[in-house]
Amino acid sequence: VSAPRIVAEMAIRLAARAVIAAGAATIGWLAASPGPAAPALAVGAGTWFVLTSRRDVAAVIRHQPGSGPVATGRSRSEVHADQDPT
Amino acid sequence: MIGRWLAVVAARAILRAGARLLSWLALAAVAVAAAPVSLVCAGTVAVAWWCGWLPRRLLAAAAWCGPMVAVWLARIASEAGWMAAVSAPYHAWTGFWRLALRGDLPMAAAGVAPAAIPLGLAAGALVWAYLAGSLAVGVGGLSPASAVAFDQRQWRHQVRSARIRIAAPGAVPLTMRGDLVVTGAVIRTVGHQAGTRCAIGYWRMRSHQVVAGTTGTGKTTLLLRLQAGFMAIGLRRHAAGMGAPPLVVMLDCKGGRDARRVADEFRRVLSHAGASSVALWPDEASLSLWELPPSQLTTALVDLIEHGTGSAAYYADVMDALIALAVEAPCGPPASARDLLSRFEPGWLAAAYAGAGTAADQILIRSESRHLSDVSLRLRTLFRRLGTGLDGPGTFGDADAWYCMLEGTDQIPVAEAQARALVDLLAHFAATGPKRREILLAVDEFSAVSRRVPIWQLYERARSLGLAVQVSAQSWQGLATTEDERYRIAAAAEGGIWLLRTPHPEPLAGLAGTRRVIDPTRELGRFPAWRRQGSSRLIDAPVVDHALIRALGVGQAAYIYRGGVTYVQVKRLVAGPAAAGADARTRSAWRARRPNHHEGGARPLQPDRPAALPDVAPVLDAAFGREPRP
Repeated sequence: VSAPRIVAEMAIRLAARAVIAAGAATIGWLAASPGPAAPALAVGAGTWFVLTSRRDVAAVIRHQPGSGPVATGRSRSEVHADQDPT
Repeated sequence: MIGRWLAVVAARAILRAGARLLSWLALAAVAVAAAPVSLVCAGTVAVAWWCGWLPRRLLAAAAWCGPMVAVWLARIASEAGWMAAVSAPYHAWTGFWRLALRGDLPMAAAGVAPAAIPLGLAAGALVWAYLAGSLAVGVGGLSPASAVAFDQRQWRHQVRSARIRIAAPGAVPLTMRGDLVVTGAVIRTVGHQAGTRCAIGYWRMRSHQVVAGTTGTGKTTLLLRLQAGFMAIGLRRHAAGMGAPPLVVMLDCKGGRDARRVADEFRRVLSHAGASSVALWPDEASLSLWELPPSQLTTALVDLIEHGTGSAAYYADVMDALIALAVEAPCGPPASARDLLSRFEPGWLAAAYAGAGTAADQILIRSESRHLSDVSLRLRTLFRRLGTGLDGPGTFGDADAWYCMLEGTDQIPVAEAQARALVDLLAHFAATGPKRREILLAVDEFSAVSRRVPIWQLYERARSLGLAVQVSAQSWQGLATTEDERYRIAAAAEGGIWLLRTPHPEPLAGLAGTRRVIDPTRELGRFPAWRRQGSSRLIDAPVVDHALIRALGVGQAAYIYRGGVTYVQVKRLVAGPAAAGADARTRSAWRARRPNHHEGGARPLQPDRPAALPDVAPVLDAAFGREPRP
């Protein structure tokens, strides 16, 4: 699996999570308004999004899978061989 | 009297049943009253059971609800004061029932959610801890066998979760911050810190490791991943000025067509991990035995030739003396096999030592010259076995990674001699190479060459050379020829032991040691009902479950380290097709930069070496006796 494809799949997963979090926050806000639970549910959805997506966010920003580049300056060293399921 | 006694017994039974019914009813009433929390709790326990999670994970989830609860309380406090915030959960509960009874369920659920979710998660963690704990020690369930069934079911759930984790692209990176090599997703841990990914430190890769597992269990896949991680982190550390450049040397001792396929994968994976050049020996690259210093070359050549015992020891000494004369001649050491063999021509040694040799040399040459042809024949056989791959040019420093294919399946003596020579060359390179390297020597299918390669000797002096050894074998018996050597190898594996499926895991699994566990008993009532009463004691149970090792699936491994074990679903590395082009570039660069050892010009990877030497084994057998076979 090539690195661009991995990054693309991560971006898709990230977008899906963002949609789910935004949807949950919106529904919660509409259902709980004008009570104090409305902003709390939005914060909860945001926390879930950040917790589950932080690795994807880092990977997409750095344009590489994994959490650390192989900064050797050599050709292709920024791309880890990654990965198919066993 | 009897009637009164029966009445008392009946009354006690009714009271006991009534008390139990009342307690269940009270529990049900609490659960219904706290319906939002109960629902979250039930869902949490169900998810934890389905995914094989630990209770700690649920508690962490409850803790991460902190920001939501904080915002909720802050909003209430800003609107109605801090006292309202204190009683907020109670008001949320009453508000839930008020809205629910009015039929406005969505608003009721949303209003109570900031309190119900963290409380439900925490309650779920407690319930799940109780259920799992009671079943784990054997007191839960209808019978003691429930614990076994529960454990097997949880194992399946944990395996499924691990497989899902590694299936997501990018979810299991090759390396992590802190110089960690990630091998896969954690299935289960005993005595190790629980987590989602199995990561081992680079310094453990710099120590010896043992990998054991039968064919087709994912041993090579695991080795490739570890080597790629070693290369990636080693290069990063070198670039940061924190260490010497890495060098990975893989000895594939089984050979054959499968070795070529693995070699291709090795090249692509290591190239992706950052290796600038990957050499395949002997197909595309060569090494030079003649790089060894004369005295070491003499010792290596004599060691590579198998000797008999008894009267054959005399011939071994003669051979040693003559090879030393030829190698350490005043004109300098030989530069190739042909050069060395030419020195055993009649008259060469006498001429070479005519003006520079000592009197002892002259006497030896005169007295033992009749054996020159015999020694030459033995050397010819040795060079035929070693092949042209060790006749130079080249050193291990010419590439970042070497994949050495030894034909250990169909030509065991050849593989043994080659492995011995390669290990000697690598040890020499590690000790006296032009620049220090952090070396990882991996020996796959070690059993094929274990008779002639005393790897445990290398183990014991390797750390000072900056060399880590990874030995892999299909079984405990394949690690070495004697039980003592096997234990030496396994006990020196400071970097850990990787145990894949094997039918005889006891010796390696035993190195993980034991742990204190509760061993409860339960009284058997009228079959098949077991009572809850019983006794318990502390016993020492093995850290590694032998039955689990025997039943591991493909790609599953147990990592044994410091009295604990982590069961891992290994993530397979597959290099992209882009590496194919890189391979071609690597090969071209390899060809271009390697000068001809003899002529100073470019030489092809398949060199125009002399044709294979004739088989003189029958003549040698007649002269020195039959060669011992493994």
